[in-house]
Amino acid sequence: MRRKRFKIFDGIKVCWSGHMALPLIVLAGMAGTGVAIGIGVAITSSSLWEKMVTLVEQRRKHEGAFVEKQADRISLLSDDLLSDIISRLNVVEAVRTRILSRRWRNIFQSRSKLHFCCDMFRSVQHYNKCSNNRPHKLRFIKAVDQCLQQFSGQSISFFGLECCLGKEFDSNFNRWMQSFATLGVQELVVKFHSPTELHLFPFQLLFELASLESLDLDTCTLQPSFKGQFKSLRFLYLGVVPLLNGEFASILSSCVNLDKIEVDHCELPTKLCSLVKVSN
Amino acid sequence: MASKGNLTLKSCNGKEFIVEEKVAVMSTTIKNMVDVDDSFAQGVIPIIGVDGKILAKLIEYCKEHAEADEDEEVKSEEYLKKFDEKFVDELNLNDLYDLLKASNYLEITKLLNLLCQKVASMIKGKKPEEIRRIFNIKNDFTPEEEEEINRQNPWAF
Repeated sequence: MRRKRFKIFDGIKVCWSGHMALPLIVLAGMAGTGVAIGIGVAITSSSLWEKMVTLVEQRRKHEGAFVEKQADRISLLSDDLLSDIISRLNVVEAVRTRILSRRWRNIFQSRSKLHFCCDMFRSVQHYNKCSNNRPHKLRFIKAVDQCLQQFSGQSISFFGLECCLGKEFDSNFNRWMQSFATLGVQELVVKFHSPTELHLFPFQLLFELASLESLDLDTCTLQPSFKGQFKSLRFLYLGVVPLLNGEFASILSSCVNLDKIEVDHCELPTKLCSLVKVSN
Repeated sequence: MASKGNLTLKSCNGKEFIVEEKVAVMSTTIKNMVDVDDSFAQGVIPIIGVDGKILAKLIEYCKEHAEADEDEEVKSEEYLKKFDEKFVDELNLNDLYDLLKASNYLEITKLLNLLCQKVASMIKGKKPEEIRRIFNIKNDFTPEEEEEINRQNPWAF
């Protein structure tokens, strides 16, 4: 008589005989407690059992094949589709995809919009300590520097900077403004998150930027008077930018092709205030 | 043959679907075919490389959106948003890829956006190792190449 013995768990064994026709009751003793729990396993014939074993094996084989079949289909998508997907991630998340595999290494490079925000570089434990957290500011600066270098000679249609950098980083900032010219930036957004000390925004550095069509400035100051021309600028948005000392006149005389200007929470000279109200 | 105002779409495995023209022309590719050549409007439009299962999914999506475009009151923006969410949530990875390719080929812009957004949301906030696991991406870099990328963009990792 052929006997088979299967070990399921330690301490629980299932035995049966090849010709046994009667149901088999297996008692499993719970180790350590001495309490016995009866588990009845009724199998009327060994052929049924063998069928079950075969079925389980088949299923395992099928599942194994299924796992193997889960090929890397995402990497087979076209460059355009992968670029589209990556364009929906922020810069940090998008750069991270470069390390996935060779296929993904250069997809990030096809990006035409770059937007850097302090929040992306802030570690969770420092989330509310924005203004005092120097390491994350340095990461931010390094990221912008490297991306500008990485994308030089390429065309970037949109560039956004939202940061809480203090005045001590003005030189970095001015360097970035100068490098935008080589990227052909059409739309620029600069927002400072430090309302206590207003940055002096180097407006005149952007005159070199012949491609610029739209500029959005938030929470900064401008030089009272500057000379130069923005030939391509058509849309200007200013939010929390004091315009009391002749800045507005300078803007109007330098932006010769302006279609639209919007000012929000900006201090305006009294005369201009009444004019703006009338035009509203 | 489809009656007037309807078009017949045929999948690559021979399944035919009769759909309203307004539903079919959600696809710019089909719209261009019908606009340029009138015979397509009467006959059968072969949808190359798209099987019956995926074509049925595409039609399901286009039908909801075409009806919403026509009558905003019956199918509000909120209703469509919920439909879209459910639509992408029910897809497995293979269907997601097939639909991405098909909606790209057929130029169904809204759906393509929805699907790309779905994949992006699956990548968002995850470590490279997790992303590889989700999409079965094999890391084929040599340690030196990996090191180089880490060196180029240390702020991202």
